Amino acid sequence: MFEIYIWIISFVSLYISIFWIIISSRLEKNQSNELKEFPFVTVAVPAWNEEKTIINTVKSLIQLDYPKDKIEIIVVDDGSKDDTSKILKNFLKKEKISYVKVIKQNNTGKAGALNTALKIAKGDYFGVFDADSLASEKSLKLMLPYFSNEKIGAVISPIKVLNPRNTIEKIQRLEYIFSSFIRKLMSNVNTLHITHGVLSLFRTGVIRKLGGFDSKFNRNLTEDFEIALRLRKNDYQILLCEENVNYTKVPNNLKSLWFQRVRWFRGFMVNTLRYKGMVMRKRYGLLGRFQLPLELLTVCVVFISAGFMGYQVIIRLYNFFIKLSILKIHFFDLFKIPTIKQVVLEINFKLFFSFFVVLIAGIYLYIIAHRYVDEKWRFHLVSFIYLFLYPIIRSLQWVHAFILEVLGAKERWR
Amino acid sequence: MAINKFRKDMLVTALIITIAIFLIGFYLGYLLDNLRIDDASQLLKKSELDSESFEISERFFYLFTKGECSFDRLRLNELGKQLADMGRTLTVYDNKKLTRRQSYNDLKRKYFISELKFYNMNKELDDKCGKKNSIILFFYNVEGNEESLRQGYVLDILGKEYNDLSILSFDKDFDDYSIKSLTSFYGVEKAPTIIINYENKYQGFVSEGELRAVLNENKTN
Repeated sequence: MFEIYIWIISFVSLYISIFWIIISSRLEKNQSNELKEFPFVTVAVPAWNEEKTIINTVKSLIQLDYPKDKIEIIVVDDGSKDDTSKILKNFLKKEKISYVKVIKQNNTGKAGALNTALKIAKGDYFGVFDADSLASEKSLKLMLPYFSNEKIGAVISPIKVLNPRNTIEKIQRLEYIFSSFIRKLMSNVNTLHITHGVLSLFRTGVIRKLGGFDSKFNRNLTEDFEIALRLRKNDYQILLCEENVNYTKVPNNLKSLWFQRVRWFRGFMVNTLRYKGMVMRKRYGLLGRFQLPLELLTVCVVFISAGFMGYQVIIRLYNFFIKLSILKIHFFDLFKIPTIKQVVLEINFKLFFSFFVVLIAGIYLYIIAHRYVDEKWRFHLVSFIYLFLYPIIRSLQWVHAFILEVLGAKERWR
Repeated sequence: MAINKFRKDMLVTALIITIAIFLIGFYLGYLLDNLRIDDASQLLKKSELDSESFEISERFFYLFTKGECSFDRLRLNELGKQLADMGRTLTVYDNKKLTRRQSYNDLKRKYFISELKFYNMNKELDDKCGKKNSIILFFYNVEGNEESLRQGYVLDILGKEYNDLSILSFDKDFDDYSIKSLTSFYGVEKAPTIIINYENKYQGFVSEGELRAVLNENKTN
């Protein structure tokens, strides 16, 4: 049973890795067309208790290389308990900046805050920007030319981690590099279905037509994923503008990271179930027939793996302690250094060869992901943790998210 | 900029490459299985030849020295240890098998028969020359039997500690006539069961202390 499971996992993982390698082999760096006209753009910044970061975030938006009469920034303070809006208003007054609006409202959640901005937005394009992120100067000029036809509903950018210092942040740095690369590949084969909060640009008219951001649906914890699926369901395309990179602050301890991911994974489960009708539908092309089934399969694999892993850990620990309790001081007498022949003959090649190839493919993708986002690649302890230990943590987060979802635990986006 | 670079043949190509890699893995695994079987066969063959050689030389001396018991006890012990090592190797390989199951089963069968031959030879020599060594028959169950596993650990450590102790392990449920005869002779009903020096039967887990006491008592008698 265990062997069959390992075969299925390794086959699927290998297939996906090879597919992405084939796609990446055809990857060429895009060059944005020059923007000839400057459409009016609204950038919405939903904020909740962000007094420490809001100024830098707004500063980065003010510094965008874009005509100031063609941009409006709307910061929606969604019931902060700190001085987010006060600090920001003082800053704007001091700097005499008039095109940044600050709205304070009762807490409604991120989607609610975005809808408030959407209602009054004057822009043809509507940007979503988290209050703990920094935008690159050229963001709008690089991203807007991607809206080359009416069916392109949103454009996103790769994200990098802002000043990663400790191990938790450095692991996430690798994670963001890898996910930006995979998103680029997905963008190239038209399966991209995420619009994150580190500057996603939408066609304002399209978002309004689709009903805005989802603040009503019960316990929707990832409105960015939901709106992306809604766009895709309505046959709009999402692209990734690789030339532009924005930066975000990430959780700097395991607890915050854990709860952030549990929230994301719960959001994934809720929204995937909500849009299950897209799975295996010809109308949605490779997204419906490959990407979404693949993601569902991955989640199933993660759950089963966590079960197997837990079982194996318990059994092995149990055996270890039994052995230790029986043999006591003789415990280490039974260990012998194996010969090379013994090592080779003890490997279950049929079972682990494909796993080994998957690992090599993973490392290869990891290297080219670094090259792609112009980051230096090095294999160090953090890479080891990211490649080998982090997936275990992620599996446990999935299990936690699943349990909370089954129990119907309440949680807002923050 | 929004060029769809996907072509259906990419999915097919990925599938073909995946299948090819899987087949290579299977082939390498098959080669490795062959190596394991060859390795175990050679060990078994050597063990059988050593045992046969010992038996012949012992018989020779017995005949030509008019019944004197001049055989080498140390060598007999060595044969017992060799069989135990062989058993461990076979267990490790057996856990890795995916193909050639029948070959593995044949090897196991051959191994159990060798153990039984060794047991008979030991008994014959002990009867002829007076008992000096200790011998344990250990009947285990492979299917998730925790007690068998624990008993195995205990016996492993005793086997290492007592130079004159031979431990012969048998899968209680293995489908072979000789093992069935043995289990029926000793009335082995459950695993683990151990038989010490041909007659003392213990069913269920026996602790290290208890076993040590029995072995020490036999030594002094």
